[in-house]
Amino acid sequence: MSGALLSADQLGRWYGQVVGLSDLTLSLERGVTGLVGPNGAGKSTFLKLVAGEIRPSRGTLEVLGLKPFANAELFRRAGFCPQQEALYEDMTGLEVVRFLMRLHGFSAAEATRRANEALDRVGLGDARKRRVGGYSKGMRQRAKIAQAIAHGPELVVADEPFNGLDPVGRAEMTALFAQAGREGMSVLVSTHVLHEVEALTHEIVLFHRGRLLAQGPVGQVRQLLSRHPRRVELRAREPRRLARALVELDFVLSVRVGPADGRIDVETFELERFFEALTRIAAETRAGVTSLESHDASLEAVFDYLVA
Amino acid sequence: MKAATHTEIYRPFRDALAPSRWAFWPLYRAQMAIATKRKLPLFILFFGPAMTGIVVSFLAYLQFQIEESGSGGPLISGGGLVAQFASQLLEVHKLIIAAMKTVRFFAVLAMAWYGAGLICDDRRAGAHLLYFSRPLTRFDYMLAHFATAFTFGCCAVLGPGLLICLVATFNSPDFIFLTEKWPVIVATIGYSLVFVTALSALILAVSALSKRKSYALAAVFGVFMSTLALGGAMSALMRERQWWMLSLASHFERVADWWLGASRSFHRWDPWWSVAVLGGLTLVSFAIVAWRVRRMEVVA
Repeated sequence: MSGALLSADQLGRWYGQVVGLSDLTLSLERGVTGLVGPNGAGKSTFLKLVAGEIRPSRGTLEVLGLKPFANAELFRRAGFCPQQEALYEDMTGLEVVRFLMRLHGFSAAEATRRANEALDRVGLGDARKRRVGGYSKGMRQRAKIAQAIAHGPELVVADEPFNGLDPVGRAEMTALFAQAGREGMSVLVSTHVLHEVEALTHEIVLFHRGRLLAQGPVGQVRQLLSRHPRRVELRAREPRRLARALVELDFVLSVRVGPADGRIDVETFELERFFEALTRIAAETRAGVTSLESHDASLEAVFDYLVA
Repeated sequence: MKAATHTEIYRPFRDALAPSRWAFWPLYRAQMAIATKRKLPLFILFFGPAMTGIVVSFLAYLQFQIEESGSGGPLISGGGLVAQFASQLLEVHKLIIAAMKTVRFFAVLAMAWYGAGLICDDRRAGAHLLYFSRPLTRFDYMLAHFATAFTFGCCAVLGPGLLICLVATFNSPDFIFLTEKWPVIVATIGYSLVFVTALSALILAVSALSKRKSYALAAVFGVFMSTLALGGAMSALMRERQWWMLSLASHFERVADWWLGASRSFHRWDPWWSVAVLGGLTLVSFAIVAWRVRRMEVVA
């Protein structure tokens, strides 16, 4: 499925004097997109705007071609997993999801069937008849995800869905969202656990202090950060010989030889040219390069560069 | 058995779901289901209204037996206290007024217990985020919560009233209570609905303004009991009955006396004042609820 998932134009949302989101203009394609940013960055505000929970203070927003606020048609095509607890403690997991499906307009039998299916998918099949009050934090998160996917939406908006999940649970939910994305469901996930976003998708939207800081594939975003040189970590049997040759390159900013392990840290603004040159120099100097890594293309590094 | 895997997640719903005109119904049912899960509070809170209904119905039954069988009838042949008491309560509407006055505090207790947490607990847990991302309007949301408080109020007030009317109807000769005294039944229903509607709206408004159920519960009782105490105190100090107009309970009492045709009412003011006060209270309460529900998106 192709086409714009959502488009925002000068979108803003204030809570009285507090700016939740300011002057956001972006367009997202269908697929899995990760929303990252520190606390108070505006992720939850943006997701609530997308889910139609709150209305924009200014600007326009269209999700699946529809204005989201209080739009029943969109609500049938989208599922929302909020960050808050949100579930009634005295109901069982099955009752919660079933009653929320009834709010969508499904018949009792269909609502029950969908609730059961969704709870199975999130791994709550055995606990479906237990009270939500007796659920662990992770189980509650799973129940919230179940209610968001049970009606078969085109878009799932999940606000910090990995909070409270143990590592196994996180991996399972990451896999679930990734698979949903592969099967054609669009997923918009916010999290501050960066490596989970990386495991899920390379498409990110980065917020900071209510503003859009970056958008796109992580690698491409990193390339745009030209004021930060790329860092490359090398290991060689003859590190000093290799370092002498590397420092001669005009696009290499710095070379630092480590005290042990034959480690060399290189900073350069032109990573591709550096790799081309390195192949040649390694062969000429016979320095014996044993490893080559570039850590700062990771989402975490990009995040640090952008937010710091 | 044929092997199969069920790993698919995304199965989009292809059919069309008709927009429901009764979108509040599933939420109402869920609220009722939650409220009735714990049986002990249910038993404690409705024991009073149930006993009142049963006792007063029995008195109504006795009254008709007295009228039918005369002073030598089997039920009162033993004479004594029951016969004396029953013969003093000559008319069913007086019994209903007595019942209404008795159950009102139980009704406030039950309605406040089940209604005080409806909106504030939703807001605290963020449950409204799940509702408002579904085809449920703010109006449906308010309606569902109102209906929940209203239902418990009806069980506490209308239930005993109708039970008395039912007993009177089936024990009156040729159902004469139904054919001749039907205005009493209408007035009982009318008064109950006014009481329950006004109180439900007040409780929801307090819930919408409170952070926790316990605060809302205290506030509802605060409003009801403090106005009663204030009215009583001012009336005693100033030696003027009109000060009872400060009391919410007195306004309900005045309306009950008026509609159910009490020959003497403790409160002497024009009953339309009470109607105006209760109507105004209801409207203001609904306005507060609407405002707070709308603000839920701000604090979401």
